Amino acid sequence: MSDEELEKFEQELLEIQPLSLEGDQVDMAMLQCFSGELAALPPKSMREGLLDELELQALSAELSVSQPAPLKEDLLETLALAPMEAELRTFSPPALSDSLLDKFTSAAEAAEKEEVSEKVIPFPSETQKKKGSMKWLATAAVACMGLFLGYNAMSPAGNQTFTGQTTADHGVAHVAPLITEPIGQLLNVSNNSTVISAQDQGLVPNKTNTQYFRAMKVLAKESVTIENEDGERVVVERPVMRTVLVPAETD
Amino acid sequence: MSIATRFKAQKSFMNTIPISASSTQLGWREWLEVHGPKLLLFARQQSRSEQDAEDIFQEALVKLSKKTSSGEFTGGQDAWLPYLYTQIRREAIDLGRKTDRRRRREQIVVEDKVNLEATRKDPWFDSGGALAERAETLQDALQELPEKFAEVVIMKVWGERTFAEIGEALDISLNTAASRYRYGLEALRKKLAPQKDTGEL
Repeated sequence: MSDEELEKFEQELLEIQPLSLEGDQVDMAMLQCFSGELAALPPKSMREGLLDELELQALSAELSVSQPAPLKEDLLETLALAPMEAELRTFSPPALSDSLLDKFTSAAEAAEKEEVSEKVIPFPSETQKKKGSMKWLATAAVACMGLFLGYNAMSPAGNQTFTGQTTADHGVAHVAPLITEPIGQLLNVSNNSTVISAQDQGLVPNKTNTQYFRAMKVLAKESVTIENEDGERVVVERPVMRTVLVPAETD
Repeated sequence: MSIATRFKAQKSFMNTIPISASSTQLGWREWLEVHGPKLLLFARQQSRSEQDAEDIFQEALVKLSKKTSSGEFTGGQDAWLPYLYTQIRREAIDLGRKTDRRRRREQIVVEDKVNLEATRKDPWFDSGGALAERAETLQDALQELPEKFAEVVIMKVWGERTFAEIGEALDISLNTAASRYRYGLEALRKKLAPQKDTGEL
């Protein structure tokens, strides 16, 4: 703040306050205003390379803290460090031993072959079919997804209206009919939905306000059992959260 | 074959192999014969033991091999060296983190001491006779130097990388690479100066 601004500020303070300010109070107000301005100023970011300088200084007190100029490679020859560099180059790392060369070469060549072989996918032969192969599990999972989607399509998305009584806890109900047509070599054995918990969400009216429903948030576990031609079964489960509207009795 | 003779043979071999000729692609073994020593030196500086150095070098090599055979790698054989410097450093950082986590879990202290002593004994530089002591002094000085200075010095002096390439490999600016190189050489000179005064260097 300039002197003029400070004077102006002081004048404004005197005009605003009904009681006259003592000298110390005026100084304190000005200081607080000034310190607020200072705090708002961001610190300048650190110069690149300063950290390295400070670290090396800590290592050796003889090093100066002069700002390093960017070093151009073609200037290196003229610097005092050139002889040092030349001396260091008189030493060279030893050649790799034969065993180490063999080890590294084999590793590199093996990685090459592995990369190539991963790209070649052989045709499956009949003899490669093994009992209990896990490949059918992947097919089963896809089929189950289709079943789940079909189940969801049967009821409105996220909501279901029950016409009868429902239990609040741990009920089991058949909520979707079995798909009796086999999906490829897989057969849907059973569908189940087990209610884990239900929470009352309150009353919800219909559009015309002529009927009320009790909204229940139901947490359930759906499971689908799939069987392949060898009789192996897979049970796929998933949790679902649904809001169920139960007609409420009204007077 | 003595160390000096092998060193001379290697140098003469290096002079005859066209290293950067794009039309002449070297096989893995030939390429490693030429460039392996300096890469292994870098790996030694980046790691805590000889075994770790070999492991991270091999890991980096395997990754390069996979990239080249899959067609992902661009730049040809001339770009192998910069790639490997970067990859060796990354492998060293990963290995360091894994080792630190394991150490925290198992509180292994004795193994570290053994590894550090083993690293000291594995020579980083080829030298015979009178030069052996000087090479050992240089190795000690490099190991005592802060890592970020030592790695730049090694890449520049023995790896013959440019500051731009060093900056890219270490993820620092060209100027920072140059500054660290200068400070690293200064620090090495001061460490080696007492030996020079007594006639050891």
